[in-house]
Amino acid sequence: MKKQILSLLLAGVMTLSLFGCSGTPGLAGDETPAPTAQTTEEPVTLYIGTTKAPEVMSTMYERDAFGRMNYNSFCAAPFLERDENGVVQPNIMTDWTFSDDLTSMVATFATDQGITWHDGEPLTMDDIEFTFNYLMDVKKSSYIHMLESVERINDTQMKLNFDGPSAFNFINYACMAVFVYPEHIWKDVDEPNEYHEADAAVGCGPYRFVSWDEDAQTMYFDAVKDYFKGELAIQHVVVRTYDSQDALVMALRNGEIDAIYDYSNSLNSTMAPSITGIEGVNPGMSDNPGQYQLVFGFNKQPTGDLAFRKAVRDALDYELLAATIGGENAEIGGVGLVAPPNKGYNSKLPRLSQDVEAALTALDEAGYIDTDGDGWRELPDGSQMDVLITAPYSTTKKALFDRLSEIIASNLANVGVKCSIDDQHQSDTDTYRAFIYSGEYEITLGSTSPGVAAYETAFYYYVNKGYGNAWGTYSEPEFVQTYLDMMNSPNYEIYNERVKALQKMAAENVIGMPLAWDKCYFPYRTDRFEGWINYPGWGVINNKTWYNVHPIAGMDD
Amino acid sequence: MHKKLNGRVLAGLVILGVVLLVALLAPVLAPHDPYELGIPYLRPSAEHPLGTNDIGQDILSELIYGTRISLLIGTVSALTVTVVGTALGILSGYLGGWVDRVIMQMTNVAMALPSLPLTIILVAFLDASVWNIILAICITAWTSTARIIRSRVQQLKCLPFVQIERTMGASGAYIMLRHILPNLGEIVFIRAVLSVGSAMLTEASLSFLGLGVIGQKSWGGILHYAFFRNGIINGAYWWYVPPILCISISVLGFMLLSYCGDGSAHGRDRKEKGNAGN
Repeated sequence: MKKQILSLLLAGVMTLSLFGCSGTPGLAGDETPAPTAQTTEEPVTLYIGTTKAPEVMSTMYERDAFGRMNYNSFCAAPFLERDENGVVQPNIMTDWTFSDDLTSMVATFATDQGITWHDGEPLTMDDIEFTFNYLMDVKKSSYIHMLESVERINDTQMKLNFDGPSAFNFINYACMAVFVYPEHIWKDVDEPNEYHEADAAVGCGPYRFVSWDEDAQTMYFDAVKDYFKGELAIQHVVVRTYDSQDALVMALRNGEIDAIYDYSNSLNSTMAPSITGIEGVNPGMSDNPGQYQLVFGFNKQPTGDLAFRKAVRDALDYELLAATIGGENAEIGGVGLVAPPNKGYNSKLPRLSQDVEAALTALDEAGYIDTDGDGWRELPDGSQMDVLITAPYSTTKKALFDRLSEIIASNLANVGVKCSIDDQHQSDTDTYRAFIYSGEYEITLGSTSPGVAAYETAFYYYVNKGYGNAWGTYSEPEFVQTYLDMMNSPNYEIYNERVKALQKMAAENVIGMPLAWDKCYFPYRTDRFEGWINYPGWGVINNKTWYNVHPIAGMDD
Repeated sequence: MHKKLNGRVLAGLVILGVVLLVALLAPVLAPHDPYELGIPYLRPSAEHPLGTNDIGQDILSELIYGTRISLLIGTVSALTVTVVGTALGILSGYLGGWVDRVIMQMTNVAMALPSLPLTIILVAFLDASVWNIILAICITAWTSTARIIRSRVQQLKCLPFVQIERTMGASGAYIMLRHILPNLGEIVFIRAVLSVGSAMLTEASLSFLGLGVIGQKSWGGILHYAFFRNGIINGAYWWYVPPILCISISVLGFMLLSYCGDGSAHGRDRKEKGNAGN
């Protein structure tokens, strides 16, 4: 019997030890370890945490931690950057002039500013010309799908010819993720995605790749001396990968890292209490230009029916959806789909609201009646109705998508609409993509990343535009044409007008709904560095970090 | 000695009785509809003694209703595993020869497979439903029962009463059903009881990993959302500790109940030893 009592006690202790694993908001900061002292004279190291693993150190590869860091003009240098307002800014491409018809542009490049590749070779106009031709002919980059040819004008200028009035589209679409590549390394490489030699990491950005420790999931970078864009206050950058956001937060709270960077993957808002009120930690909250959304499938019934879509819009509990997605800081989305931080946001359109009575009336009037008395409405032709709710495959967001599906199914059940939660197509990426690209979905949930929201907008996932990596099924001609016109806008003013027009059409035709307009959280420590600039939806690790962030004066041993 | 053993069994019976009552009386005991949506992340209060989860459902009600799924999966899986394991064990032990070799090879192969990963793969590929979870649990869980039963049957078939039946011309099926099976009662019961606890743990593991049925209330499912919706890092112990305790206590109950065969088994051992001495 003693053994059993001991076992019970041991089990109890083990259970209670879980309490120790949990964070207690507001307390951890009280025991913040003394920051590692750094004086301005000593080499300064910035520690960045992420959840994306390093896979291949190649400037051609975007999907790992190394590639994602390059979105911040880091090791590889993009032609163009984006500022905190989402507006395109020069980088290696220093200036540009569009032709009147927007079918070409003359661009100027920083090839006369003494930039060298990280292996010591100078950046030349040959590299620029090579890059465009290589991306068009070999890599076949979708970012520059509108580019037809390039003509060198002189040692700093080049004319870019497009297949349509796409000059403005080009600088926005190709911004941030189209990098300049060294000809001497890539000219003989026919399969750029398969080339993983050490020199694949050579770029001409402000930081040079030094090494990576695969076991420790850590990458090391050094600052480039005399970089053409200005002095770099941080000499070394260390990027560490953590298994989960929980681990990332604990590392930040412990002072192991200075900031979190995770492209398009803000900390879950439900973690906000764990990073709020902690001494030396700023939650890094910002408005999210992206969003979680509901997309109707227009190839299927009943979701192809406007009356049904309006009823769904009225039936949903947006307060609960917003709270589930974004906690207390999230807002209910608007009928126009585009979130407030984005260019062209139409503030005159109303926010979504639940009106169950209106939903019931709309369904009755449209002929969705429960004819067999089983408690569920049938389709107007009398056949059974069972709406499928599909959510994307996601290892990190599965729990959230499951919950959103549950809420939507529950809300629709309250107005007599039977729904099934689709777990068959959520089992892996391939299955999900195959289904979603077939256009056979009825209701699918999804999210717009801040990068897509910045120019292509959330409509990217709705419109059947006939190109690109999207699955929209909304084919109404005026809407499609307006979207294409938006993409080919000549300037931001006209772009904004077209975005507003799309929002109005989206609201009238109920092509979908934002499930919330939430906040992003990219927390950072404030006890070692200052000068952080928090890009909405992006965080404090961005293209300006390298020039603005510096150690807090007076920090010493 | 017997009092001590009975104490364990009694404790097990009390625990399981309470669990069973909670499962049966869930609609009466639960203060709210566990599927009813409300205000998320409420701390414990008089209205919600264990607070609310991330979509505003009452955690205590979830916990009470979760008893049903955990018990259902545990008992049905255990029943299936026991029936299959016992049948194969009897056939293998009694018939011997190529039947024994085939069944034991199957058992060896099944035992060599890592059961939890295999179960996870099966559940991931099958449509999510309670019955598929039960199927996935059963596919690998029958092996140890089959082996133990086989060993016991091999002992029993050498005993005089079985030999006499054979001499009298009784068929194999008759002997197995009428004489062997009744003598396996204790072992089968103990294996069944232990299998319930094991199946409940497997179900909790699967649900915790998000492989359960979306929206269904089970203890593992509550833990899943508590973990993946940041209940743990935010210190919401009222969300994640109760299902851990429920799982632990229920499994403990079944383990204590498995001691009920101890007394008679020991008695039988002594009797058999006595017979051998004669």
